[in-house]
Amino acid sequence: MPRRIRLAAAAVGLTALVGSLTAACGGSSSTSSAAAFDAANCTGGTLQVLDQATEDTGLDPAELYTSGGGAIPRLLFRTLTTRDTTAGADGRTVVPDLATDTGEPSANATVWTYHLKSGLKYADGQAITSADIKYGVERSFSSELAGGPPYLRDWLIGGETYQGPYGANPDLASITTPNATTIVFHLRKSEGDFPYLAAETQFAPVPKAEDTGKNYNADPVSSGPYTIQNFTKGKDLILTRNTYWSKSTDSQRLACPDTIDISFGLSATVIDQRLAASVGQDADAITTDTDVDAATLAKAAVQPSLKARLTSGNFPDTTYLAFNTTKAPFNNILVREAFSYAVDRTALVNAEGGSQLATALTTFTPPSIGAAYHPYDYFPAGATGNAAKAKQLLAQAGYPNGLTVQLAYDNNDPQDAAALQQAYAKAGITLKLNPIDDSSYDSVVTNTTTEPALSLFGWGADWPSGAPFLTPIFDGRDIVQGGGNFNLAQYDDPAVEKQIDQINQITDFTKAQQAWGDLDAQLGKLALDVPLYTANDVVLHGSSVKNTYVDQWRGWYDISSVSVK
Amino acid sequence: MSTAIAAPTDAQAPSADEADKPPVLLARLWARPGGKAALVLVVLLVLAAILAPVLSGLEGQDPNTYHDELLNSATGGSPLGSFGGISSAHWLGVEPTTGRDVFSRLLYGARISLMVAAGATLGQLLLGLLVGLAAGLGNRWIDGLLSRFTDLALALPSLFFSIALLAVVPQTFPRPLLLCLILAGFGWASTARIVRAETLVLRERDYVAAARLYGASTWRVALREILPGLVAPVVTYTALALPGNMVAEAGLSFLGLGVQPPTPSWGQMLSSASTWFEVDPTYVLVPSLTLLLCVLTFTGLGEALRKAADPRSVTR
Repeated sequence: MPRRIRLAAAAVGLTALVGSLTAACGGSSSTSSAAAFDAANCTGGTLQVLDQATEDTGLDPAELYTSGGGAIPRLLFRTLTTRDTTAGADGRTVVPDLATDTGEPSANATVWTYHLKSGLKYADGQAITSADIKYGVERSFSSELAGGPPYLRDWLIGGETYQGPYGANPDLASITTPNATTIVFHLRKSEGDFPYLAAETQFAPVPKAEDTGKNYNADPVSSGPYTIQNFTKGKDLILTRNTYWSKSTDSQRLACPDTIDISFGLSATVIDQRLAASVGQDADAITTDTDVDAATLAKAAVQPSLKARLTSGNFPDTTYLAFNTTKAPFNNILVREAFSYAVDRTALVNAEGGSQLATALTTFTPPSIGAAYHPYDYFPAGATGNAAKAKQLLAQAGYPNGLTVQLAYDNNDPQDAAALQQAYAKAGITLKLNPIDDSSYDSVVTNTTTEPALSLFGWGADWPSGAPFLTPIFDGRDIVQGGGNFNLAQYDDPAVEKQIDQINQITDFTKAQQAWGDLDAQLGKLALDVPLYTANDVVLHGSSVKNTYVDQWRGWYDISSVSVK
Repeated sequence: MSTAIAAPTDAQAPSADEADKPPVLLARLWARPGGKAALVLVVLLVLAAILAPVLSGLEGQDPNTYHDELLNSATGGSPLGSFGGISSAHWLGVEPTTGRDVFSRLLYGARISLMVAAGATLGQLLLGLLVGLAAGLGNRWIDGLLSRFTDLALALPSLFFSIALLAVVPQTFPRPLLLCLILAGFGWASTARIVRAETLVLRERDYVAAARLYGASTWRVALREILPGLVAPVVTYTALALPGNMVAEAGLSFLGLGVQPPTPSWGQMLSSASTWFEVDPTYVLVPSLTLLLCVLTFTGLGEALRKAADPRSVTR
């Protein structure tokens, strides 16, 4: 159940990525500062981070919902596995972190065993044990620490009824720790993607003696290279070195700056302007959550010094037009096909800020997802839409004079709806705009009883794989009555569900991705949605920051790699 | 209007009542050079808004068609060509990221701007007259109650309340009407104060006392005796309030609380232009200067009306 995200994706050589997840070369070519970066001599200084996030719910590893461990949380929490800290396509692969490997699966991928490295310590000098990791996972089941991803509850045996370690039955029997360095997870179904889930903060160790429950989010015990010096929720966070952390057990974090000073709750425009000006302390600044706006790109086009400080990357995400196929007229495939033909993707890409910030998409899975991307374009709309073909299909469907439908959208993002409205008018389709307030948009659209017939929605992957990208959208068993339903088409086909189960049994990641790609290409023929574009991440950094690259797992700077020296 | 213009500016010193009649007021306005200029500009602005479809048609454009071919997609969707893409086809250039025609959007935006400003001002006027007259003519209990109510309305932080209300009311409610209601609902109090003060002066006049002696009802006194005497101050105040409402509407639209896209409005144009000021200054200058011109014109008209209504400044 990944989040609705406007994050990132694409410009990197699209076709080169196809079917080459593991084969792609990992050459890092992204350092944009003038002086060369030297990983052996990068320590020192204070890195400034300018963020929009308010972080007013704190930093409890049980409550955080991250992709691949997040940016700032990954500086504090080490997990069983983590994302590969490198530029390029290799950044989408999973590598061991606390564990010695990415997990040993049983034959059908229902039992996963991990061994911990030796010499692992918390910021207070205590040793990290497998029991602490089990306790960390167990905490995330507690209702007072809700907020993390829902997969664990679905996958672990007994997960659907377990209430966390604070209640009457504190032990989750499906996680066993035969000794202090071994931990075993028993799943109720095959999940070849388990190592990818093990990169999320719920797999960070939490020492039971230090657990303060609801208050743990203000001062969690660190297992990563930094520890919290000062944390004011909603305002700022200052991190200093964890002296017990050792590079010898951690190949994935460079941890160059001595201090990291994070400012929360800034506006996007302010962040963009401060990074562009790069004056004083801002020369040492980056952001972990703000893309540049279209005007900054236009400015960079005539200002080489600004252009040199732009970095781009991918987060696998898709913005699409969602049909509720239980409602007229979208229960008719001809109408859905007409909508697919009439779409003007050029206007949408420009409305999002042009080709650097968005790339038109005709498939549900974006190219940035790797091998699960199989190119197809069953209803070729061309660059700006095929109105004639759409009109013909509408006539066939019984709407010779066109039709009028409402389009629901988040009122914070009106530009896509306005672009669609003018393009569909050419095909005789009148879109009545139905703006819904940002704060209630998700709850209205993802509730099966209130879901509009037509809505604009976005989807991002919790990890770079076809499984979290396709399953919640097309698995009929995931149609949740009431709130939290992401199968917006409300598509329910037992044959497809069987196919999904079969793919989940594949433990060879590349083979599994090929199968997910095949499934996407097969579902595309049903026109259950109109894929519109995938957003690209373009970010700016201060002039003194080195080794900046956008990691291809999340589409943001890898804060554990940058240096200000 | 033509009769008013033709009416001779009388050489005799007019009585206060005579001078305050609208045709005379208009004639005096026309007699002042500033007044003449303001009046002509206001008429032109209103005509431009009413004739928005015709003028856009002359240019050969409409406010909602996207022109992707006029944008450079690789540089954030900025307009091709210089000065924001000004050309013989697009007289004031095109909007970044959409390519919509700025001239058409400006004209159609004027409709929203003028309509909301006029509606809000009219609402303020009616509410202010009602409360002010009732307070001025009622007994001391009614006066006390209404005056404290007016003080309360003046003390409200109207901007915060407007923002909160606009965010809370469902999007299905017609936006221009809502803007009028909110601006009128928070802006009537100063009109009410002026009306009350004028009424308190007028009700002591001999002709009003005479009407009362003849047994005229309070209603009749209010409508036939007091109201005509209020015309000059109220018209002047209204003309000065209108540009204020125009700016308020633009401000609320700037914050994203005004009319919903794709309907154009000046505040929205200013809001989306705000990040573009360095790379496409034309796009920022066009709506800013238009708003400035409009506000100046209406303020000038109000100022000229005030002077024309002031008996001390009568030119003999």
